[in-house]
Amino acid sequence: MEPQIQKKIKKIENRRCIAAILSTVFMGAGQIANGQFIKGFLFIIFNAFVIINSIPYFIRSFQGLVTLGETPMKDHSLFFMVYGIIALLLLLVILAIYLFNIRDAYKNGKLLDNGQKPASFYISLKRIIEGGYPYIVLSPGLIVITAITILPMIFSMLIAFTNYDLYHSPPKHILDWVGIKNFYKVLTLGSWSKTFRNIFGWTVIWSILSTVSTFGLGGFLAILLNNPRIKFRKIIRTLLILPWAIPAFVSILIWRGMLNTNFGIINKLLVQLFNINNIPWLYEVFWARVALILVNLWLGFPYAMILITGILQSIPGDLYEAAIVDGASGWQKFRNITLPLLLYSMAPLLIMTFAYNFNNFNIIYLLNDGGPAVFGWQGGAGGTDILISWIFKLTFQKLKYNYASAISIIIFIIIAGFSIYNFRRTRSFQEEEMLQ
Amino acid sequence: MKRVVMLLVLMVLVLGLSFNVEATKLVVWESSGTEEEFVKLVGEKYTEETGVEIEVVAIDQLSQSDKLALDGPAGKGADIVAWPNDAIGKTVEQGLLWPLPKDKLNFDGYTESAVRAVRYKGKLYGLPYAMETVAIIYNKDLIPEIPATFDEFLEKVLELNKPNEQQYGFMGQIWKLYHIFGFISAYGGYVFKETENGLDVNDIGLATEGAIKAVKLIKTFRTSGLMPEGITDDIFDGLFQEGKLAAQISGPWAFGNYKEADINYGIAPFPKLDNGEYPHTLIGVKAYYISAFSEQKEEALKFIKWLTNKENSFKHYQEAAIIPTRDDVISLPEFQENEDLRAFAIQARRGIPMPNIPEMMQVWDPVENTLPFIFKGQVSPEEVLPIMVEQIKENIEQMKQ
Repeated sequence: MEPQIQKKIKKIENRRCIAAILSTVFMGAGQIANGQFIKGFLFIIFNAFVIINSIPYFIRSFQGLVTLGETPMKDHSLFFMVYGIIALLLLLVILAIYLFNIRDAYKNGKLLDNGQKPASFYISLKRIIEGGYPYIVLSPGLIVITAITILPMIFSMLIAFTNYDLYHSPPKHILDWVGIKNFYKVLTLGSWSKTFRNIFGWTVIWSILSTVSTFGLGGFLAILLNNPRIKFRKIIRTLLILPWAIPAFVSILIWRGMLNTNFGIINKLLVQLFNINNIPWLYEVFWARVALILVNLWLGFPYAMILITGILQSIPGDLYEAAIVDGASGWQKFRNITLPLLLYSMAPLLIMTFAYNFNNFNIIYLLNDGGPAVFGWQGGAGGTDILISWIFKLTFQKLKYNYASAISIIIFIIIAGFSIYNFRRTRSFQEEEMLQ
Repeated sequence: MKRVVMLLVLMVLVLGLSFNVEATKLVVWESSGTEEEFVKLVGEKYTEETGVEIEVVAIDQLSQSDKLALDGPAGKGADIVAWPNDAIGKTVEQGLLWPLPKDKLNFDGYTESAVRAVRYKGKLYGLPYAMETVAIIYNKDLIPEIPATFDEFLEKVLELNKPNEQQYGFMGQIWKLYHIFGFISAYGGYVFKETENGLDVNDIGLATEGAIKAVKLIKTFRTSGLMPEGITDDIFDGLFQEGKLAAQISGPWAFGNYKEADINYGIAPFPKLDNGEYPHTLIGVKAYYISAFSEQKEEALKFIKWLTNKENSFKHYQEAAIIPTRDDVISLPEFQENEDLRAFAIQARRGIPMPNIPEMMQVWDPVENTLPFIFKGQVSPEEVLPIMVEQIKENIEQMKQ
């Protein structure tokens, strides 16, 4: 008797596995075995009509993605690539539904094994609507983001692995996959790699200096203006915010004119005041870089000032009162209260600004077009070009789409790396210091 | 039986559809504004005469090739497109243009240099309708006329050049190949050697003796104080409008503003250089092309031939103030009366078509990047121009990898 019961229980216990296997073989079969007929029926319909009918579509799309077309002038490789990516994303969705179906069969089988009844269709529908409400509301947004952000992103990344340039342009030619050859070439090929290294170096220096300078000046002014002893603080603050209120591209173009060597107002002023020679602001690499950082400082410090003012005003006043009671000096208050709290709130902002400046195309392009030229650099690169403006030149002047895409991926990896590393550090910083 | 019926039904359907499209319709892409309006205007007349419908879609010339590359294979492209001739090489490499059958064309009356401009690798891809080049625009109040030789001209403008009094003699974008090529060509330099099969990309003539001589002459514009460092086209355009500049190198796009600014300006072709040669400036030519994807190429060809005939070319000049690419229009008294365009037309007929091969893209930047070093006196032309040519060759090499 006893072994028989045990056997029976074991048999019953296996329902979860059976259901899971059944659902793996054909969607919905497991649900039917579990006695959930409506749900099972829906899954079966999905499998029979959507999945089976779409198999030829997927085969065609993936073939297209691999071969990128066969007949020049008729097949357009870029279309094949886009269709392939769409198929890939759809496949992921179907795969998710498929996995959900198996998991569902397994879970409900488990309930049956434990002697419980799985929820009825009505109740599970209700649960989906209740529990999944945020996801249902989010889904249109997610679908749009997939279509307009993720799809083009994958597309432009894939270009880096093809030979897409002028001489292989569709529709006359069919693109080929070339693996990581483009990366290899950009990073190692004689003058290209030299150009890449130089531009990369300047990009990093530029990002650091532009971030530090704006936040330095902005912070200095914010702390100064946060002192209640200064009169007309609001007016001064408003005046200082003005550079930020003018559209940046207008003021950059005005700066470009003002910095002209022989005709610009800045040199005229400097010559009259200090009796020096004209400074070739935009015509020598060193001065062009100095000019860039100064103009960026002028444009960027008000933003930093506002941010830091906000942070300063959120520091509770009782900390200072306590410090005064303890007999702290002004410097000690600043050093031990203001600065740590400021840095703590500012760290993520600094990282974001750094990432922003790393890709700050506007100012580089508008102020001096990446110039002045440096003899021997490739791809039209100039002395103040950063990676992103170099990519622009590569794409639109040299029609080297594959190289441009490869460099964008490199930029992406660098920025993503920086951001992830820094954000993680910020959090550990917060957990260690703030919980004391 | 069933299949036969199906087939019959299908055939009837296809026939029905083809009857529908029998009223031929040609789609033309043109930049919006005067260009688009002109094609619309004469297109109506063409429809009256031949029954062929003309649909004009406003698409900027510079973005047409990108659009055609995507729309053409999908069957949505235009039959006739239009863009500057320097994009021909690029678009032929992309497979967008149909080479015109030479036996059906007759170039009597067309300006020879403009027809040369639409050839690529020995084949002809379009019919030119307008051209553009640089010439000397001068202020008649400061310099009543342009002397017959360039040396005299330089002497004259140097007299007028008084930077301390905010008066300048002569300016131009001397760091850009397009604006200075006239000097290089007059002394025997060239960009790519012209051969029977088109331009030879391996033979670059920007470091020849003539080119070096020309660059030395151009350098004297800087060293003599005519064109200080830092001038830009905006700056000297502004100076000219204020009446502070006697003469400049510029193109037909500029003088509209001077009319408005009430400047007593004149336009003259470049005077002879000391070797007796006239500068052959680079000319940009706008042309109509037939899409390789068009299904009515013959009809389209008939239309663009009609569009660029003498009568319509003259009309185009009247409507859009272009410089026609037909000698028989330029010689008309009605055109000769227009002093502004006449001077540009004379210069353009002396000109050399802008190289239309895609390799040309690798030339502009190195030249623009090298010349400032020479003007600063950091390097001599003899030293650096050969290096520049090597760099251009390397760029071309890499472009093809």
